[in-house]
Amino acid sequence: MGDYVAEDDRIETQEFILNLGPQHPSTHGVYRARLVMDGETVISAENKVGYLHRGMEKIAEGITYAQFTPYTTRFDYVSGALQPWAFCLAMERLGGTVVPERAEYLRVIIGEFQRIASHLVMLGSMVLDFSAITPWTYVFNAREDILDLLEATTGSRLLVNYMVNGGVNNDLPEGWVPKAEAALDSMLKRLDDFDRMVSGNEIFLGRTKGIAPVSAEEAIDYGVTGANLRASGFKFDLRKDSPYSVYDRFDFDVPTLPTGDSFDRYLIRILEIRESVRILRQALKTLPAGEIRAKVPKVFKPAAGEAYSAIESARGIMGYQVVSDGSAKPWRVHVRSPSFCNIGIIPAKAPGLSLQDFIAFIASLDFVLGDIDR
Amino acid sequence: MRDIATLAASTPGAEPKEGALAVPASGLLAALEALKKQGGFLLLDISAVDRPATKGEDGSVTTAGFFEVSYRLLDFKQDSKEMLTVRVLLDHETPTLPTAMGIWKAADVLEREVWDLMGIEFTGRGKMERILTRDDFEGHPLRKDFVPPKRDRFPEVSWGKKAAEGGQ
Repeated sequence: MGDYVAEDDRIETQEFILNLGPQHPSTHGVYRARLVMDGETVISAENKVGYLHRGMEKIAEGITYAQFTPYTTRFDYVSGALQPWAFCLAMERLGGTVVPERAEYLRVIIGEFQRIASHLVMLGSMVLDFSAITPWTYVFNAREDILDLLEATTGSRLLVNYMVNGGVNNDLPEGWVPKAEAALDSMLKRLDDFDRMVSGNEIFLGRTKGIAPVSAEEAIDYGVTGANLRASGFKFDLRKDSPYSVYDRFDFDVPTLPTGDSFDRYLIRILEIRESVRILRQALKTLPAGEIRAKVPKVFKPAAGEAYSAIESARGIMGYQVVSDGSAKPWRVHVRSPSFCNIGIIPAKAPGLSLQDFIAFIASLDFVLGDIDR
Repeated sequence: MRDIATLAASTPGAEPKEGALAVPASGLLAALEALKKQGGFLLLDISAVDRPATKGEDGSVTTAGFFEVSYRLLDFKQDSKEMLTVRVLLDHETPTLPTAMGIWKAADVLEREVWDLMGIEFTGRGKMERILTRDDFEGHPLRKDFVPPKRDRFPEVSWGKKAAEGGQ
């Protein structure tokens, strides 16, 4: 018997349209990709977003500055504590408020813990997309300790409304710092276990190595920022390159990786967690005493003007444009959310990927739909 | 160190104004292209602010309404704390800008958002699609004169009465 030869060379495959999402576990939220498929291969992809659009920017125009601060945690709900930071920076620039030193340190501590928690979710959910359930339990265990720490300080676990105009809401409870250091140790142990289990796993490597490599030029062209940009070999981190708060006082590196494929985008998160731990250890050791909130008026009425602030959130550069007309309500709040631009690279990189590689690709980009849709 | 004044001198049609580079709508693409050629910029954000007309006590228009469109460029070659802002003012009647997609591909989604929420038209990029609101949404919600549509999710039906009368 020879090889099978089609009797008729007119046999062709037929392209079809596949809607991936909006209700699909691997899209990590209500993201929909409209894929044109040829069998298992993606011919073209189109992003369909907006299912979670809550009109936050319009809401902001109807309420006061202080009332809008908790809303900001609902943008990127996986790293809730980091979200009000950029908005507070913009308010402080508008009002000319100087934040006390202890408050800046507390912001860095809570913010970096939140960044670690967010990266742990990314690592766990990415391997979960490859049906690897065991490693997921390791990182979520580690995250649980961090959420307990956040809860002890701020009162909430996920949508942490801790940073406010002029400082932070409450001080650390007694005995928090030793607990935080112990949590870092146990988190690193679990992360090492996770790292050993996943990063060298042949199946994992086979499904992520060389998948959808993004060059630094492409990433800049598409406005990709954050860990995804650094995975493409471009060294840029606002914490280092344009330090806000007290980030210029800590000794830490900005890790980069050469190829920008799905594996690099995964590995960069592990490297960044280790750098965050370095920042945290220094901040916990040098935490100064003092006030935790500057004196700001109960009704905040900044002079007419505009402020733009940007921070390095867990997903990239988060920017806030806040325009004041002199009244107690903002005239306009515009949010530049990192995930919104990061997913712009999907239609460019998807053609030619198989469907399972496409899943690996979008998991490695680590977007959050609350951040995209606002 | 790049400051606004030197950038304005090397950018056609641009002048420094309130910490931003102010350019006319017709000179926007030339200015952005000149900046791109200098290297070291990433298009971070496009945003628009609606400034409606102000009226005097007798109801006459004292200042005409306009839109303020800001392009934020991240300058990664220097350690400046602020982003570079390129600002265009557009009148309320025909707010139209040329697309910047040919310069930075990031402009694609950002322009769609600005059109969807604020109604600034971008020419040279084909049919515009809504991105955050649903496809059949009418109006541009971030404009100050936007009136939210009446809730029509549950249209009035009369079957309850008919059922009470023993009908269908």
